[in-house]
Amino acid sequence: MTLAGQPKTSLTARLLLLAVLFVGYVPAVMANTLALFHYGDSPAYQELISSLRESLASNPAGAVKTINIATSPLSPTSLSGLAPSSPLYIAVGTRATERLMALAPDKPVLSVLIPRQNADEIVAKYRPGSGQFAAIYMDQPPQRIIRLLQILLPQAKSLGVLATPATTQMRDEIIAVAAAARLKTTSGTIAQTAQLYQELPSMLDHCDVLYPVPDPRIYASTTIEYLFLTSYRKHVPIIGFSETSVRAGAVAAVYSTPTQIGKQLASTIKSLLTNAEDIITNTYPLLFDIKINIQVARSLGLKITDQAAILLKLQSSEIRK
Amino acid sequence: MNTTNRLVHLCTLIAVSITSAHARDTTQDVVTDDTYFQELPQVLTATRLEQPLDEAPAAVTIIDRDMIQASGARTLPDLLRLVPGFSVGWMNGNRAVASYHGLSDNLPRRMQVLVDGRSEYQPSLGGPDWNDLPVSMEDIARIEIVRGPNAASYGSNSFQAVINIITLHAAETRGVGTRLQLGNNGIADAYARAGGRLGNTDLRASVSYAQDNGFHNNKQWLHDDYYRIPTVSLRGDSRLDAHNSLMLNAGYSGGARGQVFNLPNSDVPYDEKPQRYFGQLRWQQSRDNGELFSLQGVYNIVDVDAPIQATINYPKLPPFPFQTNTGYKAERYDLEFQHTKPISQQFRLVWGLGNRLDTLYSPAWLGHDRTQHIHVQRLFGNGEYRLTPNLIANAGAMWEHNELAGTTLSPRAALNYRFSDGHSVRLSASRGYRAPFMIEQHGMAKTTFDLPSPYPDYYDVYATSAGHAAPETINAYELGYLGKLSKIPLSIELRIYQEQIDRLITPVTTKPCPVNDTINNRCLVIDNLDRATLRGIESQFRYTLGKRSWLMFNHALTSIQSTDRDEDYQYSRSAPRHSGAIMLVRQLPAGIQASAMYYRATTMTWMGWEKKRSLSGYERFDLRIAKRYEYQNQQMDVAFTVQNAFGSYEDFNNYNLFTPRYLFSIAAYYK
Repeated sequence: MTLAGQPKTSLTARLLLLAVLFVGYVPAVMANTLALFHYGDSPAYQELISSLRESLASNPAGAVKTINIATSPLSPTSLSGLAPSSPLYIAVGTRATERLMALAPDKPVLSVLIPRQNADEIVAKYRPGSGQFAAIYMDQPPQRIIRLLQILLPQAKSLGVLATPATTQMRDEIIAVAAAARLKTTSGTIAQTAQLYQELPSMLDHCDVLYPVPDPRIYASTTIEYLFLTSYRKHVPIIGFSETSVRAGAVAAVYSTPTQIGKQLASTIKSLLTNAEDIITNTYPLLFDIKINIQVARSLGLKITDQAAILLKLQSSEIRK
Repeated sequence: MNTTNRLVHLCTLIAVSITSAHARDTTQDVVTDDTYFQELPQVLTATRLEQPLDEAPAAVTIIDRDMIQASGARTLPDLLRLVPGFSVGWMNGNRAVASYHGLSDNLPRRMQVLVDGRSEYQPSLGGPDWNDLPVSMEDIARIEIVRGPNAASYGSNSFQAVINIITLHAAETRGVGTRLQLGNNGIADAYARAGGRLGNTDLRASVSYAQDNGFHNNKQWLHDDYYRIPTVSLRGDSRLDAHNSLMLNAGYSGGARGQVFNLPNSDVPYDEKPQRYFGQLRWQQSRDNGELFSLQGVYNIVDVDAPIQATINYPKLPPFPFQTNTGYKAERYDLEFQHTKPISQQFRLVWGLGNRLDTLYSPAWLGHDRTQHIHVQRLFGNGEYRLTPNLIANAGAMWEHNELAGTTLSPRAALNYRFSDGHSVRLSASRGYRAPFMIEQHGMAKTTFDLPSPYPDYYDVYATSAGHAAPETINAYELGYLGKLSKIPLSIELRIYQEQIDRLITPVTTKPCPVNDTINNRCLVIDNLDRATLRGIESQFRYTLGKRSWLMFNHALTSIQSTDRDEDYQYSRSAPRHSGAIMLVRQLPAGIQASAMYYRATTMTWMGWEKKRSLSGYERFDLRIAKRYEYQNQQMDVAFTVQNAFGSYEDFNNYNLFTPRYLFSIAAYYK
């Protein structure tokens, strides 16, 4: 079984190394528990962990030991004692990933709930080119976002992308995919929340739909009303990134729940444990959900009929590829 | 130019560092998974969203910011010329009157006007005072005009139409802005605003001033019907948490207006000095299931001082001093609760209740110096049911108990059917009531002439109310069509209606006057008197030419048949048979926008005024050209507007001649 995703040729060396390592560890794994690290006790982490455990329940080698590094800070010495037989470390979230990568340069790390740009930066900082890292990103693949946009707003001709210095990679990829889908694009980058007041009005004049990348500087409590009210007043729908962004006023969003990520993580682990030659690449989430704000959609005159039908359409468009 | 740019750049840096010092949250510089799971507040709640026009149970015209700017209109009533079926006139240089489907004299009182959900109905006038509405045009986000009765959604007085003015949320007006407009006829309008954030509250403070010399070329009166009105308004929007928010609106307006007092042998000019304060606080809670709760309290006080002094020269009498004060004081306390509940995917219910107290102290109009109190309670509700995704039914009603008029129930039912992509029809039936306002029910406008002895006092009664007026009733039926073509960017709205209005409260010239009138023994007696049937067809077309470029055309054909009992109150002539407007706006390169407006109406009469001779029809061209300069976070708009570019026309009566107005404005905004 191969996980469909975004195989990166630049990762091939790393992946082969990872596969080799896993081959070596397979017999030992059958009797060991997996170490999962997370920072803090957010409901999202809890949801992912219980989904992971549930999915691995049938697998005897699927025992998962969770370590909250907020309450039990890690050091190189404590780390080796925590889960000595774990063939790899599962890192949930950016902070846990960074901490593990800093402390355990030898163990393979499987990271989840991490934005792509963060994953790339962490790898570049701690293990450039050395492999032993794979991630299931938090972000949705740009193709999926654009595909959602096309299904919901077939008449949209130009997309505005609002980004920050921390999300330039996402911005560039979305723009590239949008251009390939024959959408005109306009982009704005803000380094600080206050710059939203200058960037947003001019962007809204030049686009039919807006995608603000998920960044706390853009979705800041001080400017969230401004972002949604001004875009709405100019009749520019916003594509969100989470359920709550849709509740706030985004017309729709595609996102993966921690439960879905947990399932994918379990599936990845299972395949690693059973099939030694498997290749795991950094991958975007496979399972996803969409949420549509019907009130906002109706108010903007968008013909959005059935959330379930649109989800199905989005899912089937990926299978076809 | 270089130095200017550098200076501007410096100012920008200072401004950015000041604002960013408040806005920057250093713990959130990095995007993490928390970003994906953070709780965000529901910003676009049901009350902030415009109902899609093809689902609205009534005919709605929207005037948005772009239209407000492109029209070059200086005042709110002038904007209403863009709405089919509206008649707008200036009774004098400082008093505008606007009515939908006519039936109006100098005190239009069959229309509800709301600003941010706060009724602007003045108990002293029975309607809004357009002149001192403490709303600056610059702060308006949009205006929704509901053409037809709609008490179920908008409360009492929503008899013929509802004008709902919505101001910009304080978060949308950060930074500073200023605007100055100068014109002929003594026109000077100034506006300044500052917006920022304090804690979890977005605030906006606006100050404006407007002045105009009025119809100083008025042939009949040689007085100055000027106005000079300063206004201050404050808006605060607080987000308490993800579910709760608070809105505060407060304001003041004052200044002076030139008026005239008619005496038997002469007209006495005087200065009317209105002062007005108001405060509005609304708490809103939105729940995840789409439920909304809101509680709103409003306090409004209007205090008008209008001292008149003259020496009266009457034949056969020695000259004697005369003084009076036509001022008044009115207060309003209003509390309203509203609950929106989606009961299922198909059914949504909105209901609420309100309690209002209006007081009026007006010796000149009530004939005594006691303060009159009126209590009004209301209960309203509307259910929206989606029978199919394309068939929506609305049923609602308002129950009102009004001390002046008893208890009334105003129901409304509508059916919207989207029969094809972009095309829908609407059928609606509604009944509304208009309670007499204080002057109509308890009015006594009497002038006492205190002659020196041995002469007796003389009384001139202008108007008196019969005291037992029942509410007017309207039964309205309409068929509407909305179309949005796909091949060409054209949207169409058509409406055909019939409105049957009974028990119209009419001031009838009565001789002999039932109250002691020793001057001419003639006065107006206000009572239910007439009936009217209104029928018509209204249309609106809008062709989009680009972003900020469009061509709009609207037309209203109105026919009124009425009992017309009083020869000075001819309802059947109170609306033009044909009226309409054309608006062409083009966004040109280099930030230039050019717009041209054409307004036309055929003959009509504003009732009670200059009697048998109707106002001749008018046509008017307004032209505007504006240029926008943008640099980083600054914007400057320079505009030149000509109102009524060619010729002049009679406005409201045969004495007011509206001549061309030339206006030049500069507006600068700094974010």
